[in-house]
Amino acid sequence: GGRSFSFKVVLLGEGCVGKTSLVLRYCENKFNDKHITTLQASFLTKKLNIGGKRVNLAIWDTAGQERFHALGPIYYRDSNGAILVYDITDEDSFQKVKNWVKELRKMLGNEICLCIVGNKIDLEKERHVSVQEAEMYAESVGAKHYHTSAKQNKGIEELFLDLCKRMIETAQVDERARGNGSSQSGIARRGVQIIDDEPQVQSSGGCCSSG
Amino acid sequence: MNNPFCVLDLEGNACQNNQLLKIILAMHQFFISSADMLQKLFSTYLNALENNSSMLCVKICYFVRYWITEFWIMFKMDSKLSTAMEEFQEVVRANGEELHCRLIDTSQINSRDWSRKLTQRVKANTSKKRKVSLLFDHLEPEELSDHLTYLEFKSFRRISFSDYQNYIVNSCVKENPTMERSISLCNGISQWVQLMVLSRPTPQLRAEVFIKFIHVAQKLHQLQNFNTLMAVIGGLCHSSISRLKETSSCVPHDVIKVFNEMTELLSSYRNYDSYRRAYNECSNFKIPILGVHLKDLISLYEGMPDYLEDKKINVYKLYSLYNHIDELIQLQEMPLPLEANMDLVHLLTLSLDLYYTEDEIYELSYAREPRSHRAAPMTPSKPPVVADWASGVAPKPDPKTISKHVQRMVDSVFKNYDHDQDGYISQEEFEKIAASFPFSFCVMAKDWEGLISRDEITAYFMRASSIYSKLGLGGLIKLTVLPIFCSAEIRQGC
Repeated sequence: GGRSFSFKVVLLGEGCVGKTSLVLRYCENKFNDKHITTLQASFLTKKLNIGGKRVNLAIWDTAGQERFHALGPIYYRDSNGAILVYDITDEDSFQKVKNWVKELRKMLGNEICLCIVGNKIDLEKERHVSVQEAEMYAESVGAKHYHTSAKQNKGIEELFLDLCKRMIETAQVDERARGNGSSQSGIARRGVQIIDDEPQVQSSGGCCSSG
Repeated sequence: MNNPFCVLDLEGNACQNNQLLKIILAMHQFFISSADMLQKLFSTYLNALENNSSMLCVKICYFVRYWITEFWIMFKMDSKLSTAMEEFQEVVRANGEELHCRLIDTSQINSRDWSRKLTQRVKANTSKKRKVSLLFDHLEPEELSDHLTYLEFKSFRRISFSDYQNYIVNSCVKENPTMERSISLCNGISQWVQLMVLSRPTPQLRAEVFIKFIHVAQKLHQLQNFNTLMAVIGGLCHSSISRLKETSSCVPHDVIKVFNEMTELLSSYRNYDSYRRAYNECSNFKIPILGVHLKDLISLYEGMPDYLEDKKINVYKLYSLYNHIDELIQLQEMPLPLEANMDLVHLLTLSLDLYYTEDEIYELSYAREPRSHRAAPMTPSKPPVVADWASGVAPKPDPKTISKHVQRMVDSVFKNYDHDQDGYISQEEFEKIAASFPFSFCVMAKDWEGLISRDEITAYFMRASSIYSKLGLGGLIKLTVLPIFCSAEIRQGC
């Protein structure tokens, strides 16, 4: 069979920007009573097939924990991608995205694929964050910018599909780099998982012990 | 609420199913404000009265009675509800049904000692004076873990049922001071851990503090205080600490092993699976990782529909939310299995209150172990935000920054010690506070009598901090990092 990838994507942003609704929309088929009762609700997964490559996507919603700084490192470690969500009607939520970008770059350097997402485009009339400003900012930090509406289910499929493609690309570049013997780079410790089966427990031990 | 009768339909079963009734009353605010719900009951009552169906009238009154007895605090806290209630009572009184009047009477509420219930205090075990050292270096890990747990439990106990509800709905801490306090305590601990490590000048000494906190973490685990455990481990995992390679090379392997076990325990892998297992196996006293449970509550809230077919309220959703919150509330009643020394509690409170930005902490981290160019990852182009950090090698104690920190410290002092909030604290208390700061050797103005104002205290700390920088003790770093635990080294220094 084809190649298989496992990626972890972390969802960040202020409370009330619609992180949870966004991911629930995307994984709708995954969200049922069983998930709720076992409280696996916030650990959402999706399987995709992109050009013959199988992708297992684990999406980590951080809702409710926005203010717990201590939890941050526990979340980002080993993430392959981050989706930074703001509410287009809330300027402050966009400023918070900038903080997240800073933090993630500090922690993970350029090894993480960043998406900046303006949610709630159904409220276009109340927009407080200019499209141009957001797109320029995204470009300046090496992120891609998207617009979504969780309410109207707009832009969400495209966002995740695009992110997956970028993560596959990054993983393949990493793999090639490692194959060339230049594995001294900090890439290996993040543990891009390229596997043919279900993900195993990752014991990278990485960012904490080795510094 | 689309169907005003649904509550009443449920009320029909109320006698057989108290639990359900309780849940509906506890959780109705997700759908309808309390005042509106009472309004609906009121209009139903009026209709019933018109139709001479006295059975329904009595039922409604019993329903309200149950609401008053079980959730009287809502009537105390919600002015719109109490106004609506008064209107209701007036109409009932005018209609002359004595039984109805008695049922919906709220005058008993005023005699309740409701303030006690609102701000639950940790009474336990502070009478016996536990003897502890106030010097960080002399404090045993167990003393630290006990006192951190005392503080944690104190703030955890204050979070009420409706605080959880508000957080779920609003996803923010605005007008939710108990939740805010609890979260900032958690963040404060995590920062304090980082700063205590970074305050030490050599890798060896920093490793010692690191090791000490691993021992504190072990004790916290034994105490089943997962929230503080997360704060401590989160602090040690933070990149400002994990990047210190010289320091980590001084940490023995067995300690690293424990550290890895702890991070494994708290890992978010499979939605905190290992934490959840450990947590569920614990009985008696335990403090949950609040963030994880808040996340669960929000997932439940957002994931389940409010209404089912036929516009029926999704009672199962209310039931799940109620049970989750109730479980957290039940934990507040557990007796605290330790005793605390209040002086140490005060010192800790103050030091955990000091807030630093992430940038300031990084600055310190890079000052301790500068970015090595050799070790820099081979990733081709680092974005500017990262490069910026290389410049902040030596923190300069400029007066503006010092002033900002002193201001924060004085704010903390007043927050904690100005009990009647008149802008003054007693000299006696000030001496206690000043003595716990590293610059306690500084001259005290001798003519301070009785009460000391904010300005005087600010001036004192400013003077003390300038003496500090003259002594070459690193000004800003010392001032900000060692607010509480004077190390023996500094005492000797003066």
